[in-house]
Amino acid sequence: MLISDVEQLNEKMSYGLTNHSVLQADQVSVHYGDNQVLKDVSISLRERSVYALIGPSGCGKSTLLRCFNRMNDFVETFRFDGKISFFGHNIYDPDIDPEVIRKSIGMVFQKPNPFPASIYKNIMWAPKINGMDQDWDELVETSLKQVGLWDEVSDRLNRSGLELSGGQQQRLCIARTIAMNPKVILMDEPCASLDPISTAKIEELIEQLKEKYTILIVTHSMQQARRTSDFSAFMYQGEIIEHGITKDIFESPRERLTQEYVNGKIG
Amino acid sequence: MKQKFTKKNKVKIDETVLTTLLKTFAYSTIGITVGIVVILFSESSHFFAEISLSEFLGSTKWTPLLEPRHFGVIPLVYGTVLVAGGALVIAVPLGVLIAVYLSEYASVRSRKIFKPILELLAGIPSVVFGFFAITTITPILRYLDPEIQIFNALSAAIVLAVMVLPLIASISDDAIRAVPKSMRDSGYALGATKSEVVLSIVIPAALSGIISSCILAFSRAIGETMAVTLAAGATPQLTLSMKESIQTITAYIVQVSMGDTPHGTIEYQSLFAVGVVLFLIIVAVNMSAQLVVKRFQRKYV
Repeated sequence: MLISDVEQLNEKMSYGLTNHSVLQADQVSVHYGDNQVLKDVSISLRERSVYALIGPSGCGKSTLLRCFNRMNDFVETFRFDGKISFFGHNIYDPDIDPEVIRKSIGMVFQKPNPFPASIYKNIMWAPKINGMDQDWDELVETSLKQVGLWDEVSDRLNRSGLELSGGQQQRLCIARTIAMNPKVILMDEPCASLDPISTAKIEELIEQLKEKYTILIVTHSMQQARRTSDFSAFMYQGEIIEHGITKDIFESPRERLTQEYVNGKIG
Repeated sequence: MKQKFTKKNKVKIDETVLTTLLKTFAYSTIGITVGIVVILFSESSHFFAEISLSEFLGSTKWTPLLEPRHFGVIPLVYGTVLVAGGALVIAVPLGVLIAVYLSEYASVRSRKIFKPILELLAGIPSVVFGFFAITTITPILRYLDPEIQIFNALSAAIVLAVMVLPLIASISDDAIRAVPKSMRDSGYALGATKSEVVLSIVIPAALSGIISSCILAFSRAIGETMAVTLAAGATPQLTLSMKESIQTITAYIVQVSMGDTPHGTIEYQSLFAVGVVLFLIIVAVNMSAQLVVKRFQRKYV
């Protein structure tokens, strides 16, 4: 890492947790029925950075991710305590519709899930139902260009999104999310079902996207977390054990558990 | 060594016997179908030896029991399609709405109550439905509009609609529930509301199942006999008004089968001729259902 990069990161750190934080979880606890899956989790995400959530299976990283766009609301036994602020607004405020939140906080899933419709419609679907009125051709083109898919599919925009390869489908899903012009993109193991080449493309894409968006990525792969993220949080049994600059987490972790995890002793 | 060998052989014989037995039963269904088709066509060939195909398909009068006799099948086909089509006009929107409610909106509890009742409706014998039509539906219709005849196509269409409703609702419900959760999630994650997800993701994705449920319902309505015979009467005619009596193919078969039609007469043979028509219509409808499923089926990863 270049010195200027480190300085940039330090600058980001010192910008103060409150001023430039986009999303902030405060003492978040989550229960599924009687089972507590998150315990007093606090984390703050700043603008235009990539955050990785790492930890062994079942540590609660996906649950935490889904708290940020209220996708857990669909789980009947879900119970939430604490607070998550998005630009200072509590997204769990009873007066706030989860749909509004999800428009600004997009999500990409583990398995690519394009709509069974044309590539074109996949992009314009969400802006259209949200009543946006714009030049659809332009939106489709810019969205696809941002994910590097335009050159690959510009001649077959009317073909089904399901005809694309897995990696292309995942980039289409990212393009679909970008079309809504979100502030934050949540990614739930976006490369888990992809081959190494597609994975590399997605990682490259994440690098580009952070110039405009805040990205929170859940990943099983420690290498991926190291390669893509500026900051990492290590979770274990529903708690954030340690978080900080990714390089520090991997090279000089403060906690014994983190050290054991990044060295492959647990998880 | 020898003992072991015998034992193995015995297992093999058992297997062969069982396989043969299963095969026999499986193939016997094909045998029965082929037998029925052969009899239908061979018996109707006697009919077509006397009545020309152009008279059968071209004439617009069907008066096989009255002089002057006419054997134009069009009024029967028309009556059949009119009643079945009318039934679909009522049953498709209702059935699809019920399916959407059951699969997307109903709580687990109300679903548990609703679904068995719907299936019970499918189990009611058709003669009961016919009786229900002439004792309940027709009087209500005649109260609302005194011009309606005692036997009328409308009443038949309504009762048929009630009969095929469970079929449409149940198959569509299955199709909607088969839409993967990931598909819904992608909609929600983009900020869509439940109704937006249901209307513009789930229903289009389940469309092949929904359409094929409607086609199967149409096929069922065309083949339905007792209820339409009781409700719609026996007046083969080409009328646009559903207030009048008509006759369906199946109702004609009932009418002639119940009378004392002597074996070998032209009326008797006409049964097989209209039977062939009914058979061909239903085969065509079912094949189109298969085509629709293939055409609209979306494969999910």
